[in-house]
Amino acid sequence: MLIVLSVHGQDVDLAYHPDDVRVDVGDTFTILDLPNRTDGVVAQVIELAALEHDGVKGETIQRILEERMDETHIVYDRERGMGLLRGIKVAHAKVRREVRDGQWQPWTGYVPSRHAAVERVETEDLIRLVAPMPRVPLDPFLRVGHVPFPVGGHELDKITIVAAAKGRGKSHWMKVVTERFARKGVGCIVFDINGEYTGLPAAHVLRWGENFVPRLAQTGPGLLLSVIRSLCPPQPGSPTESLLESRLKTLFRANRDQGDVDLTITWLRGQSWGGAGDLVQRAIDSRLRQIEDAGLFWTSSAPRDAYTDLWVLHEETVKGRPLVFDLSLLESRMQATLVNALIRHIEAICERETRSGRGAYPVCVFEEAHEFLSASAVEKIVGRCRHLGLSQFYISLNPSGIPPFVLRACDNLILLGLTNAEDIRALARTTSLDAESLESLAVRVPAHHALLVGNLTGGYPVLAAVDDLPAGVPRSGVTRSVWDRFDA
Amino acid sequence: MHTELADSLARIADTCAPPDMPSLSAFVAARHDDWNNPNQEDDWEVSEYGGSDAPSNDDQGGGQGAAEQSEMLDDRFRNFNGTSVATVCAVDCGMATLGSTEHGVVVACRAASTTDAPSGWSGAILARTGPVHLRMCDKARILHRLGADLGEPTFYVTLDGATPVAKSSVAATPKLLADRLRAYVERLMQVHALSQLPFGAVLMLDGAMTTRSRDTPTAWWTSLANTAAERGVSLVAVSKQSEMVISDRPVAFWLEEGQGPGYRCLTHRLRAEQPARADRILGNLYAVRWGASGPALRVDVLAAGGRDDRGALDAVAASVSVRGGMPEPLVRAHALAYIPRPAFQMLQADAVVTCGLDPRQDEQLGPGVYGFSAGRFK
Repeated sequence: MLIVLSVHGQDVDLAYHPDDVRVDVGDTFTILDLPNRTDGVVAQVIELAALEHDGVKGETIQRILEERMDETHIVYDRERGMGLLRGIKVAHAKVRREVRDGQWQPWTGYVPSRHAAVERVETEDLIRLVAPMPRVPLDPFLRVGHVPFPVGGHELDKITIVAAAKGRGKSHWMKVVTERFARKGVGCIVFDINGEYTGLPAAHVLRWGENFVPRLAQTGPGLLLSVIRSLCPPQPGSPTESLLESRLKTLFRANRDQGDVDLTITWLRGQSWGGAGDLVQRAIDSRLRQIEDAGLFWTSSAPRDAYTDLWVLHEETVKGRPLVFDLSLLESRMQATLVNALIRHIEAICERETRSGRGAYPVCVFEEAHEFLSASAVEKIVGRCRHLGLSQFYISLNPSGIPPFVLRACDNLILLGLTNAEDIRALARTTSLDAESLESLAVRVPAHHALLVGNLTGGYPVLAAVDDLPAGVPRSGVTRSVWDRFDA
Repeated sequence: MHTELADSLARIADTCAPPDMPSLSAFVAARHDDWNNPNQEDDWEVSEYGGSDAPSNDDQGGGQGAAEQSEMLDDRFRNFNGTSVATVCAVDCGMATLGSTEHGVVVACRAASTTDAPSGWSGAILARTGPVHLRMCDKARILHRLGADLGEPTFYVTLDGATPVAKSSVAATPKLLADRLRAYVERLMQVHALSQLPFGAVLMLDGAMTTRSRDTPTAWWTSLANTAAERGVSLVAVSKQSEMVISDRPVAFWLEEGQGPGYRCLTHRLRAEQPARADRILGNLYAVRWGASGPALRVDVLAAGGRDDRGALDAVAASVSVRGGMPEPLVRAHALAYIPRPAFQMLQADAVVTCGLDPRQDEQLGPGVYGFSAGRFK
């Protein structure tokens, strides 16, 4: 039995004895005014504590005094149940919903009296009452207790932040989601900074310069310019720089107009750079040769099985095959160069899907996006995500590094265990969940569980277990150690 | 070893236990603030039921000669000067009023004795009565039992044939009846503690050693003194709240001329000014300051075990530390006899079940209703 100890605004304290009832963080209870039990609140436990009461210090001192004696004889004792009070606990809960005439509604400030009945809300009822009915249900991968938590594509759409400390299952979560998306024919585009997603079933794993050599005609002059600036930057303000920026676009246009000539580095090297002196011409040519030697863009000598066409790759995702851009072997400037260029292309894909009416919009997964995505690029795709139809997952163990506009635009927050106070505070901006609840729940997420808040849960914080990966999906991304081989 | 104490407590508990009742007694719980641990303070009213003549101080154990007594009773201020340590034991008993019933009062007592030996060994003996429902209709039977256990069955009652009848003004209210119970439990623990002490030990009591008082038969004091003498245990009784005045000066101010821890014997003065009063005291009367400063306390000393009064006091001072002006064993005994609020609340809950009570709401009518005087309610 739980009894209302105190009520103040959104905060409710419930007293109980653990021998009578088990209470865990995340449990939900209705608190309904007696005698009618039709009006009240729905409260979720966010913290447990021992009951503080008057005299506990005196009692403790007395116990210590007794125990420090070499011998203590209680020769006559007719006091019973003296330990019961010490066993009483307090469940600190937050009001999540209001109950009016038996119906759950958004909370408008109603507080129950202490003369109230406290009853547990069973998991099935909680899910039924808070979780939206999925229009396009995914195969289940979340459970609350033993009850599957329904997840729908629409509910997991747009901006999702997945945050956790090291080794707490961020990659696992994302792999499960991409696998479920793939089953529905929605392939994710994963920008994989650590090479953790390369084992996803049926994924195209793309490594720039190895099996991914995009055609310049598709990428446009922007990517080439970015590569030049990354690998062999001209001196700022030099004639080389200004000529590259002005002439490159002209040459790209000219090649397009010609129509039947492949736009390659080789072709560019053979073009006139328009009035440039011999020195400048040689400077430009040496840079182009360097990039050509790096094999980053398609040439006629590129491997036959290399992926070159971004539109074709997109069609693969429409069939449900994930695209994994393995960025782990690229140095950081090149990571940023590639991803920012690909983002521009992804935007173009979205525009095309809208014009065609097909609506097969990509889903992008960014792991530690702040390391390789420019702030302007992020702001653009986040700000336009609803217009573009572009869903995005941001995975991070450093949420305080996530750009503020991403936090503000967040539709779903997935927390798999955080202890850093600064990170938790940063995430408080993502949801309508109060900061105290987030701080309390974030540090109490059990292993292999996630705290879900957002469209997915109707705004109600839900602690759910995440299913294992399907058989055959490698657990790459698991923390490895030199000492693992000594385990028995 | 502790059987006798346990048996006595069980017996009185059985005496207090009401017979099967056709209905539950209405019960209004008390507040923990009402907790009190009354000491056996100066009780100058000679009991109308004093019983046998009080023993004079000459009858006490110790056996000192007149010359030694004269030297011992010198009222000069003396600092403690002890190098000889002793086993020191202190006893205290506390009582909590758990609540009132339509028939009487529900209380719980805790008695404690703590012992510290020179070797460093320490021990405690605890006794806890749990909830006891004292019904006024059982008063005579209870008081008869108490008196019998204290050595004088008709101390509190008269006998009409075999039926005890409480003497007038004895335990006229439930609270006074509870006081009798508390005092009784404390006496039991004092006797029991004495029985466990080695020769040369000191037994510290809380309150004065005053015969011909209303709560304890003189026969009991006589028995205690004799037992202490036989066992060679000195009795040192400390009164924290004595208002005794001698030569127009309260006891608390009788050590102003001296500095530091020390004492003065006041028996001689008291005997000269108030001889009847002096005769009621078991042992000799002292003003004692245990700590470096602060007021003096009344201390009654009945030395034994080869010690004189000075030796007993010096042994205590040499053997124990002082906390808040009180010897630590007494402070510790008090702490162990205290019923903290959590235990108090559990006892109240248990009382409802154990004593067959029907809890009633106690309306806290305070300043909101009666104004700042709060009427007759606290």
